[in-house]
Amino acid sequence: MNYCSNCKITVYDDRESCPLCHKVLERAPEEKAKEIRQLLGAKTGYPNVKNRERIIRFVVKLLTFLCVVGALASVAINYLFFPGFHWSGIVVIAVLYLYLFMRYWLSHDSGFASKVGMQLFFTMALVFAIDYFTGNRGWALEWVIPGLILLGDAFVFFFMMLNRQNWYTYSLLLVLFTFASAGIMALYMTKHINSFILPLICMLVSGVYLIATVIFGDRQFTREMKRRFHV
Amino acid sequence: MAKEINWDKLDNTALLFPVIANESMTNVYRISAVMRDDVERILLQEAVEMVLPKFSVFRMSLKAGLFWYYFEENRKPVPPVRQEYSYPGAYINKSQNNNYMFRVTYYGRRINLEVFHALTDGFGGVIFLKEIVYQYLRLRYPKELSAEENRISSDIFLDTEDSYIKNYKKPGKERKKYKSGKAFTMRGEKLPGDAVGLVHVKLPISDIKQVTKKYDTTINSFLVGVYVYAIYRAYRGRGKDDEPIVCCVPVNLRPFYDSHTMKNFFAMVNAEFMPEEREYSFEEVLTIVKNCLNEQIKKENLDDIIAYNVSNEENFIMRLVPLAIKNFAIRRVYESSSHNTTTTLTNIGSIQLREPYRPYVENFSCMLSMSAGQNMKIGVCSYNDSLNLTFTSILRDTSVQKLFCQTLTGEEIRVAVETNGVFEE
Repeated sequence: MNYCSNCKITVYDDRESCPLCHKVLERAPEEKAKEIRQLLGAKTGYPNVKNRERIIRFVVKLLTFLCVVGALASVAINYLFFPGFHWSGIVVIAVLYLYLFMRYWLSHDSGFASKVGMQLFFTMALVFAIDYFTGNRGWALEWVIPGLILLGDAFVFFFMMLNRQNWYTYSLLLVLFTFASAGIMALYMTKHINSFILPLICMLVSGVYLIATVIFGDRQFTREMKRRFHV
Repeated sequence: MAKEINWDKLDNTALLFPVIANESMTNVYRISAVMRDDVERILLQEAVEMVLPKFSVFRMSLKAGLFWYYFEENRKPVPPVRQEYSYPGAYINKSQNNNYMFRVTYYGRRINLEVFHALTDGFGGVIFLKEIVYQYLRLRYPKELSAEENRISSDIFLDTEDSYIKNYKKPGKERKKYKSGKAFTMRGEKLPGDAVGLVHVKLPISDIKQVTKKYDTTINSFLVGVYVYAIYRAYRGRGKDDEPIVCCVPVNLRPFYDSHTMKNFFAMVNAEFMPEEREYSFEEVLTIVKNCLNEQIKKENLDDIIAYNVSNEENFIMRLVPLAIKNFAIRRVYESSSHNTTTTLTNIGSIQLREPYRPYVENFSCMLSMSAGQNMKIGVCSYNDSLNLTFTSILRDTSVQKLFCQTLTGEEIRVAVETNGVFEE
């Protein structure tokens, strides 16, 4: 135990200088140290967590570096060797997408269901944007997004089976998928898209699955909806 | 048939925390108990597993609804007790913590309970930690504490009412406004990364009582006075002329409203000091701070604060606004008001343990995490004859802590200090 004659305080830390005024510390007289220990307790100590924090920061920086270098390299290769077709734009979007979702999965605090839901809805938005900016031929709404909704239904089914005790936590996702598939069918009805095959399959699967959840889930489903929609 | 799942609405204060919490503004507080002997992890884990089922407030997970966040009973296993592995008050990543919003860690002789503020305030945290400590000690010293039973104390209440709503009185037509201007911000070089610096300041209660008697004030007002004076001296001439030093002081509302809720039930009052172009003595600053606090800690004023805070939540049109929009609005309001406070000093009071357990526990401490605009805070608690203050700071400079301690030692108070070592190069 040490003593700072400038601040007139006893310092528990094993260090050369006072943590407050930085004056070199004196060894506290044994009597004084004993009195302080009896009155206020002994040193408790703290772990050195600096290294752990440093490693985490390094890994994040390394991933950022690899993504940036990878994206720039693809742009350079595209420009130098294949100047006709700008495929590197897709690579850059894909790298950005992967990077953002990696960070989202690692650092975001929501549950598994909402993470999967968010990832699927953002992927839908991304696919729609790519279609829109590359000629707006409708393939995203006619095929890819209904496919993603079906994938989402499969995820919900898988998670409900896997986590049977809390199956109801995935039901909001199912409601949202049903609404989304109904929305795509509405686009077909209003002649905004031409093909109805996959949107119809998607709406039927989501709809039937939702009806089955409402009927078999009974009160647990209604209670979950009550919680989710309480005002 | 599966057992019906319990759920609950967030209390009025808790509504804010899930919206603003992130890695740098964690809204996690820590209460620690220092044992006489080293902590044994397995026994501590067992103690937490015994105690948690009795406390529904802590056995919750946070869910997002369409209009509000809500708590839902968490049936997942108790989060594992681990040796301290991060800076104090670090973000509780719920998805990596079995969806629980508290964490129990240990280091050497210390047991730490870290709680996300949406669950409960310091009052609830202390009760929960005390019960964990009792069970842990019972398991640790079975012979010595053989007369003690495997059950929680009979002197506590497990009430989970929303006391804000219960004690809310509709404001009159002349609704009191609590809008204040920008306060002075303590600035300076920050510690690297997510580092949080702790300075524990321990002093004998008998010493401080003599001084508070001399100044005719309470311990809490005295500490706020010393703190504001230290900030004033450390940053004299470095703030803008129209920015007062504002120290936020949370007030436990339970004694005022005869509440025993385990949920949040506190209100914030501000000790404000606006220095003019002259030198102030410690006594002058203390008198200003004391009067400021005395004026605000009155039942009528606390009624107004509750009415002001709850009225928005009670507004039906506001309630119908989707959660995403509410979150956006709450975040904007919080950001715009976050610089209205310089710092916070919270005192969770005197912690009393039941007689048979007292010899095994040496001390307690509490700390607050950082929030926007506040780069330093103090948590205070006392145990036996020891008053324990913990400065939490992300600033490298320790002038405020130094001036705080020097003011105390100038009053002949014995002071002992321990840091978590992050201020060392």
